[in-house]
Amino acid sequence: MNRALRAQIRGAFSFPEPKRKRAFMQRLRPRGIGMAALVWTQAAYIRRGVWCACGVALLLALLSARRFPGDAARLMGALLPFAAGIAVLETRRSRECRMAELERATRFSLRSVVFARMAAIGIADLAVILLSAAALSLGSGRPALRTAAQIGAPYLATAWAGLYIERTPLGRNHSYLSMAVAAAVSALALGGEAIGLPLSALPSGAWGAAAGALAVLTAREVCMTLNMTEEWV
Amino acid sequence: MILRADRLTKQYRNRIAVDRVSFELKEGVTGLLGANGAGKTTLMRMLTGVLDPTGGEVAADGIPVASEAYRALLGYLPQDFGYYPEFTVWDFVMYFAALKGLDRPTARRRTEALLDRVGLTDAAGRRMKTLSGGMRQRAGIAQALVNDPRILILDEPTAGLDPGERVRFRNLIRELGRHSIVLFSTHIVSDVEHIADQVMMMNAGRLIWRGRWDESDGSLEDFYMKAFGEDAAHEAVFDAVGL
Repeated sequence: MNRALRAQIRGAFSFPEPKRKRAFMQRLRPRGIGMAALVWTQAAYIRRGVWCACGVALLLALLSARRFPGDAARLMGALLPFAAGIAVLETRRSRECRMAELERATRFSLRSVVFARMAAIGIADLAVILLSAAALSLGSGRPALRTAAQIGAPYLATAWAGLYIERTPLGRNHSYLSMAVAAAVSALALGGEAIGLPLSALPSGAWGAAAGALAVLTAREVCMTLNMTEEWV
Repeated sequence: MILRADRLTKQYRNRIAVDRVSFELKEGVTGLLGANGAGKTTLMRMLTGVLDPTGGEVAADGIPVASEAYRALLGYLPQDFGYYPEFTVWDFVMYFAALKGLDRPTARRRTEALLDRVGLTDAAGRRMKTLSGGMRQRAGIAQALVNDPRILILDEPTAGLDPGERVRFRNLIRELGRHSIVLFSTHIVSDVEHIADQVMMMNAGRLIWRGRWDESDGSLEDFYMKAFGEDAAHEAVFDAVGL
């Protein structure tokens, strides 16, 4: 049928009104959505400050690797706890902004929403830690894994302690306690040597063990936080 | 579709907020009336899966309330809700469209249509925190409808709306009731009289009356006053005039 004839027919006859179209559409099974899609969706709604903190940390890592190759790992170890503190703050947003009830009544459970948010930030922060470690090890000549453990341990310590405190009544009532934890860990990372902690002299294995243990503790805290989300409503 | 609540109970320590409530709802509008503390909000939160019941079950066509499949059918407007401070009205509705699993083009189309329907097209770019109570309520209504729900639970949806908005909203609910199960709670008896196909009344956690209300049954307001006493009637009047 040629195009002109089709247009003429369309002009002469109107389309029939749909019958029970809406009821049919409502009965259609909703499309499946995976966790990766949810993480991607949540990433778009995470506060810009979180992404800025990641960007600033990475930028400072690159700059300090060139200018202070000897001290850069210590400086990054002092900076990254603040990124962890900001990440912990982000986990409490649903509760703080009274969005938990609405979010819980959507297709995904509130637990999945909070998990997706934590995963998005965690992946970004892990990328920053690994890229920073690579840049710093190039500058200082130290093994990249040791550097990753050295700058990752203060991050993980803050995340673990911050999430733990968030679960306590004290943490629930005081928004910025995780930032106070970040400040304390940062001060320790920066001035630990001054109070007699031989941080830079620790062997790579000790840093690796510390980072591993803190990663396990943080993962446990993440699970416990997720289990508590249903109580936020 | 049939939404079935079976001996639904919620107990808080020594207080029973909802006491063995059972009912079945089909497509249409059901108004839930009751004084403050009657258990309306607790019942609605259990119907949405937000609150776990102490006992009893909720299912829609056999799909249990705790499942993703049930939540995919659901639209919910709570009595009081928040928003992320940086959200505009558009972001707010789009966010819930994403959480309800709509793809981006559909979400955009639905958000645009719904903002038009609730009269917020001009305010789409405004931040939620700058809206009046009535406008915020309309944004809440838009998010509840964004997935074209088959079960719509609205807790005090007309609270904070001016008389014109309320009439518009009543018409919207009536239209939605043709295809979906709509349950809305209110203190305002006239809202129920105007749009509800059936009425449920709660008192002290129990369902005390359920059925169709015809003009031949007399004034629903009189019945309500008798059932809940003068305090509830005063509350209803204060709510109606927005105090």
